[in-house]
Amino acid sequence: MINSCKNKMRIRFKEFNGVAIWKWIANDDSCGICRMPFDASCSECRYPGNDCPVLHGECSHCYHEHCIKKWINSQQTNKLCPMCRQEWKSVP
Amino acid sequence: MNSNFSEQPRATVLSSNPQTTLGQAQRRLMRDLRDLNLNKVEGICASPVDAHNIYLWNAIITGPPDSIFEDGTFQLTMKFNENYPNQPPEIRFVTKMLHPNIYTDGSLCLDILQNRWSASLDVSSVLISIRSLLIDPNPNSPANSAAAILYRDNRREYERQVRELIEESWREDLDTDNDDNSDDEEMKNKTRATTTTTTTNTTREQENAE
Repeated sequence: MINSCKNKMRIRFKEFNGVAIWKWIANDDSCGICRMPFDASCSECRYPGNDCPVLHGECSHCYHEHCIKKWINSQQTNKLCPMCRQEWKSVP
Repeated sequence: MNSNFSEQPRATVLSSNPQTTLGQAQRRLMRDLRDLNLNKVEGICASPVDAHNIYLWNAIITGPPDSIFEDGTFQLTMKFNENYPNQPPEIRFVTKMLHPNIYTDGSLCLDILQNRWSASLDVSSVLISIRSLLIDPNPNSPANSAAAILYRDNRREYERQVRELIEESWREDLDTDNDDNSDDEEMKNKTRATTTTTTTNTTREQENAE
């Protein structure tokens, strides 16, 4: 029906606002160290996003990069995952 | 204030309050407090001593049921520092205890509070561990050797003395309660743990109203 109409409706875009959402891929909702959601920043950062990334460990646990680095640096001997106490190795 | 604060997205809170510079330890402690209030755990209760210092907490553990500690309520203090949760809190029993892993000054010999501390632990998990330590002592690393020997060699006498201490703590509580009635100022100075300062104030206001 519409196709057969002679006067087709025309739409002209004046403006277009794209909206996107993003989410960190992590196996949990929140960081086990600071308890803030991954989609928010760690407790030291102001804004979430690339400046406050999420780090995955080989043991499958995830933390804010800032949180896990601070924990690892505060440990004198063993650098262990706070959750499973396996040696912490981050997945690149 | 706490609950509203933590439910808002952080960016909003910070942009509306650019002066707020809470450290990671303070933020984490506020989350711990919120978690404690949201997920009540049987037998434990804790809160900061006052609204101006989130680093010092009072806690109360009730004795696990069906144990010799059953009828006791045990008061502890928890001292955090700005490196929390990367460093464990200093925890000490205020109530006098007889336990193989509790020093006579009230401090504890518990691996998770020393070399097995982990940044994923929080106030509630620590208190749950301490509560289970009460009924499950580790006689191999005694902090109070007299208690450890008694526990190992003369369990009946150990249990008798524990019960005696618990009964003694009731008497002290009664004494403090009497003092409180006679002098309100004194109550404020007491280090007795209250669930929250606000609740005590409200109850007091209600009493005054009546």
